[in-house]
Amino acid sequence: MVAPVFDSGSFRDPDGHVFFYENEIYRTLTTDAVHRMERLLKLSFVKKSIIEGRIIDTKILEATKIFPKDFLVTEYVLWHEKIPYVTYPFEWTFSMLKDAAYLMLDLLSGLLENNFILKDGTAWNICFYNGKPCFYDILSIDTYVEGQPWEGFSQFLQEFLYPLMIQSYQGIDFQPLWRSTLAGIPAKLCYKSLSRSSLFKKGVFKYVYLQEKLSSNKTISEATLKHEFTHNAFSKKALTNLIKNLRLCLETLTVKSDQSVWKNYDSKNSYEEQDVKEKEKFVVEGLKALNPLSVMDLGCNTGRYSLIAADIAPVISCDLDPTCVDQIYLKKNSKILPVVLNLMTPTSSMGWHLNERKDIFTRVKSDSFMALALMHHLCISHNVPLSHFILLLRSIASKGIVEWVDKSDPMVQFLLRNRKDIFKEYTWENFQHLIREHFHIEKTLPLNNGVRQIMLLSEKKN
Amino acid sequence: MNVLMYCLPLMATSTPCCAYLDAGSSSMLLQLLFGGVAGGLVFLKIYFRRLVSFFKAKK
Repeated sequence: MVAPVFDSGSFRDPDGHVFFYENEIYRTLTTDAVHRMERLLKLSFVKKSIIEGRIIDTKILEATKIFPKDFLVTEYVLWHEKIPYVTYPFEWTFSMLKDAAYLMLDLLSGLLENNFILKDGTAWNICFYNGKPCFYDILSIDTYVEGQPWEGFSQFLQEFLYPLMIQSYQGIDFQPLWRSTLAGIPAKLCYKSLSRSSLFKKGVFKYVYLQEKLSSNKTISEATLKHEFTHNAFSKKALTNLIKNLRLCLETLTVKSDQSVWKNYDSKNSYEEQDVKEKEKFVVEGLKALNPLSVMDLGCNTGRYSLIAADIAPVISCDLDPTCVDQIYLKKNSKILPVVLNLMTPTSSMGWHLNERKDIFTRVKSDSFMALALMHHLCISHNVPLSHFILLLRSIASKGIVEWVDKSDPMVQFLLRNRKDIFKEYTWENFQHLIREHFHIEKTLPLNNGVRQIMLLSEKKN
Repeated sequence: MNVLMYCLPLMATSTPCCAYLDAGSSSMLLQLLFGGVAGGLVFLKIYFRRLVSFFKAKK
């Protein structure tokens, strides 16, 4: 008997579970689900969405034709195209979450026209692939029965609309709040976070205030409402209008452009124009020499070097500032995956049994890194020892590009302006010594009269 | 009419019940309210039922 390896996060839907076999991704299917999926995958709307990359490519396969004898799975399975990196909703930016919300509503609306509906309204069913959102939980598409409500409505509000509202109206980054619940932002938290004047903004009274008041009302929450939807014929038109109004509400949500201190960093740093050109040349030549399969750009800021790297290999652009990362996303480069990531608190394993949601470094792997103008933020602002910083780089990849930022650099001086200099080991000599323990230094280029040094690192062979 | 529908829930007294707090019922009712007249009727029905059960319990 051969047992498939199931994904520890795929247990909620009794209709089927994700499993892995020979580097491919499959999903088990109950008999009912097989018929439903057959009808679904024949729809021209679904076929078109798959071609456009809005739904993940999926096929129904007969288990006996692909798996060994005695392989313990259902008679039919779904095959899914493999997504290289899955990022979670709290690692997305405002525009990413908003685009994912649009996708959700577009799919719901298109499915309704074909008498299908989404079982839920969760952002966990979406990932970012080729620079745009892609829906991948095909099994959460169900047959629509006239009169039924959308059971994912409150989930949609919590996971999409409320986070976007508090970001748009109050300038509060939604990511840490979203991460703390793993289910978005509750109506009460959203309501309490909004100012009184926000009550008059589009959708706030309808979707936040009413939802909060109704959900905290004992009589309402105890009521059995299921049968009312058939008796009172909650029409498909009403549901379509609901989707249309949610879309109109989303369209009014925008972010203020002055929210980030890092956004203008690229134009306000300690670099001279000539040094910038030399640095860019070094990055291009260095990456070409490393010949990476992918590059993880740590502390990417607004993505100047991510964009350069994307001409050579796919890039995972990480930064703790959502506004900066949003600017990269808005450039819509299909080779760049933007990720909101704070290296001091990277996403750990979470959810059920600490196994449902995976840590960031398990999900997002790369064979090279770029750590440009990053180390002083970690080593000076957060007291991370140089050796720890280098170990982090080595755990990510065996090759890459790193930039040394000396204490005499104006940006480091700025960080040290109001604090005691306790960083005796933060020296260029010590850094070189420590880096040689884990990497081979291919070449070094001094910049800004040696205040900064950029290094090309390859794998150290013993 | 729609304004009236949206105002109906505000007449309800808010009594939180935490252990079984469920956003499902409220979001279903919200959808009914957005759906039109029927939603308002359902809302009144819920409170009427509660009133009836209150008097029944008194007997």
